[in-house]
Amino acid sequence: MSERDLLKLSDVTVEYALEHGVRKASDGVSLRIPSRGFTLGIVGESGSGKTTLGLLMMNLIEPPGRITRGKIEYQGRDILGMNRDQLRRYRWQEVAMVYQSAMNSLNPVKSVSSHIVEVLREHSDISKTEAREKAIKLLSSVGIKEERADAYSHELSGGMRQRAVIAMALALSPKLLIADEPTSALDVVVQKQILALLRKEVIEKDLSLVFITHEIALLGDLVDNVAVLFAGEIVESGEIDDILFDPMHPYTESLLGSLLSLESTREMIQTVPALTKEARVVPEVGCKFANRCRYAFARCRVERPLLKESSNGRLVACHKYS
Amino acid sequence: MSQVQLIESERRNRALYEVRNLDVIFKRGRGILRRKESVVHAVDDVSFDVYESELLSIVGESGSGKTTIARCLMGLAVASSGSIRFDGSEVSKLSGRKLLDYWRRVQMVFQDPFESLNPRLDVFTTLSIPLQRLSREKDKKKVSDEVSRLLWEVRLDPGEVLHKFPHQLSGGERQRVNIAKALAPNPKVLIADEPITMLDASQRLNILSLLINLKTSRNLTIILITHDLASAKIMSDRTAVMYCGKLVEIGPTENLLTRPHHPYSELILSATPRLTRREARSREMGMSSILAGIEESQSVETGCVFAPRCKYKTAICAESEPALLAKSSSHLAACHNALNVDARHSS
Amino acid sequence: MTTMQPSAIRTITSKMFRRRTARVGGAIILAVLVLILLGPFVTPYAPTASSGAADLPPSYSHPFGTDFQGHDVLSQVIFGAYPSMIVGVLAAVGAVATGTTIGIMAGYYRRMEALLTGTADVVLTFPPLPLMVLLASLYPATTQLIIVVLILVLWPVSARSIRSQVLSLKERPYVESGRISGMGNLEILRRVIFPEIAPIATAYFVLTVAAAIVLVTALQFLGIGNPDVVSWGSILYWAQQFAFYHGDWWWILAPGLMITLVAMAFALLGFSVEEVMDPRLRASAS
Repeated sequence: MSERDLLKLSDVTVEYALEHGVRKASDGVSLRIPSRGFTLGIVGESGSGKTTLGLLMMNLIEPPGRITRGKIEYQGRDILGMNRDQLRRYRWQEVAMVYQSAMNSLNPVKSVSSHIVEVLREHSDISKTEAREKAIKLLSSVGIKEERADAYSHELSGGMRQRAVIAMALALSPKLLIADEPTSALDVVVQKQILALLRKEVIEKDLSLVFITHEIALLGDLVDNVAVLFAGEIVESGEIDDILFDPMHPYTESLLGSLLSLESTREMIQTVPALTKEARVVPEVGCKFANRCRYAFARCRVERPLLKESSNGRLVACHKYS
Repeated sequence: MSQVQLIESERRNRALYEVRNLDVIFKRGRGILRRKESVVHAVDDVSFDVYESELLSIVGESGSGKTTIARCLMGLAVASSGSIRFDGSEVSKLSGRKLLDYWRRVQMVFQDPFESLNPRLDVFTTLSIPLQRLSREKDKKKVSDEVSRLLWEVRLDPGEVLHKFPHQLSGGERQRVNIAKALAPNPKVLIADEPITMLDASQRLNILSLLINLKTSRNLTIILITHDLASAKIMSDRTAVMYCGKLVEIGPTENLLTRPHHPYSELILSATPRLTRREARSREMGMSSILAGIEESQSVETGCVFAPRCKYKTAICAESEPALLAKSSSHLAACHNALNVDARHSS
Repeated sequence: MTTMQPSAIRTITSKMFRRRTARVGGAIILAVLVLILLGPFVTPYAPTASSGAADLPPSYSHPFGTDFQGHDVLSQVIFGAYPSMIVGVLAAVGAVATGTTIGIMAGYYRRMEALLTGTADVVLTFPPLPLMVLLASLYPATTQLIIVVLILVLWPVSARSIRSQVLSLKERPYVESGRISGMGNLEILRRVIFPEIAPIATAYFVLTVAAAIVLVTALQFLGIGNPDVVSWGSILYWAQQFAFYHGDWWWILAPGLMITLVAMAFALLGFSVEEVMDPRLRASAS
């Protein structure tokens, strides 16, 4: 059995050339999905670069974005060097993606089952009948009954559409599924169903899952590991319970502190300070979180902390621990 | 005495709003709204009161009718039948000058912080409009002073934002401007339609905390529309739960969230993400929880709307629609098999 | 008191002229304008004076040759530019002003909508040329009449587009949000609706000029209006009758080329405005 990681990002930097300058959506990011069944949650606010990470894993970065540094390897093979055919086989068959607006980008003139049939027939040599059978089975495994398999997207609720999209993503049995905020537009009850569905797939099919979100509370029941993203960098990563209940990086602390959950009370939320103008600026030099960090000291303003193992074995990018 | 009046007598504050048998019917189906006899009941026979100085949350998923109710309360949508009385006047009959007067006393904050601000007007102009039109303030200096004061009140620095345009502000800042705009005519009631849903998680708490402070400092009555129970818990004294156009439960927030009467409330509670340790979490993810959705309720013609999804349903649930009755003190639910019922109130 | 965003027009023009299509179009129109303004002083010949032998092919002294009466064709084209373009521009102004007004009313006021849209549809179903000929034949064909006829035929196109824009604008949350702040209909029209549709109306204006020039030329070509006044259309009016017998292909080519160039130039400009306007304006508001 190979020792290679399923997916490995090494020091990847993505730059976007915008009208007013260059912006780094990802800055020296390294992470590993070591094996099948490995679940990772990526949490960050909007603008943190979390969507870029998902796109990176699929090699979907397009101009004006460019990968200026780093390597992405899938089972040891360099993804960035793949030609079109190899990429076609990589995407959907090895790695698949479900994103937030996917449910709205279903083709309105095709039934959901034919979406899946199309995916199946494009990537493998099966007959129409076989494809259709498989499509119906897939749809029912995500909770869409056979009677509704031929419905059109506008006839289905948001939750059902997103389930159809998940079925499409899983049609070719990929080893890794990337879900980028798949439940943001959905209600809480439907959200729970989708998360349960994803969890079921992970368990039943030994699927690796990368779940990208800005709501860390969703990750509790879903993933085993978490990477916290801030301004394009991973600032902390580790097992979910460690991150949730024993955060190390000051950003993780503030993230958890600003959480709104059923456990919050009025007194608790009154103590969260608002971000000042200065705090919102991300400094060019030194630690990017320095302007918002209450522990910041001199070293933080000149030297950028690297993600490394601290004394208790957890990965964190903060000078407090070195 | 009707159940609603029963509760009224237990209250000290007077009722600002009296909503009775509100029905909003759309002729054609839209998305996932429920259909009944080929029409869609966005709001189906809803009655409740809103008391002075209270914080009431109306909770529900999309398609529940909560936003439609908010718009009817605001006078932006017209009900098909039923009445909404505010301080004695029927809201749906207001127009012209009277409607402007109403909007001086009742204001609204919308869900999308960006789309509710005119992209061509800067903050100063956006805030001066209500002062000039609703409050009819003609003195330029007074308007200018009041605009600055309003910005401070929502914790924005006038020096920084006064001449900025919406696209130059962050989501949280835009929403604060929206709140300031709503406060400009000095209203008594603030209706907030999902004010934090479109904000980043880090900005949500600040906006909620702002609303709470404003409620206290201005003695506002706030009606919060939300799909998130956590916001309802923090913000409100009373919570009303909507499902498919029907008001299924209404009562003191704390009671409702700890001992809900209606199975739907229980379902939402269990689905709301919590931070619990691994060991303590239950891992049961039955297929039934994956399958059942709001579609099941769309074709219900008789009986309880929630029955197809309800794990407590019995024969009577398919036959007769449950009435909204008190199941414990000041706490009503529309369910034949209500949970956590207080012995004195079981029928 | 009102502080508005830095002029959208300035943003549009700067973005627009980065595109080659706009630059080409702009250059052509500029050249034509120079031609119109300076041409009459530069040409050695008067358009109606017999300046050379009849039916001369293009040569150094007559770059576009002469017609059947020995008039220099190039001079005719130069002098003829003015009436053609001025009518085109005036007609376009009128058509777009009418279309915009009607479009706004139809989009904003529910009650008038059906009537106005219906009228627009009816006008659109008529083929423009026969309709114009019909209308022009009812009265003595003065320049004013021609302009009016063009306006009547051209207004529905912009009206429909503007109406649908207004309809979608009306749904925007900030319209409602403004209303509950006390903004009345007129104020909403002024502050919200009008600024948003002004760019579209401009695009339509430019495109309509192109259409109007072609149409007025067509009318003059058919003899409506005074064929003795030199315009591109009247050149073609005479050319159509005599050029074939005399073999004077240059006589037709010259005005044809001009019309094509100018119409194309306006069209290119118009497309550039449209292109820049749609996604970019929304992008700048993000």
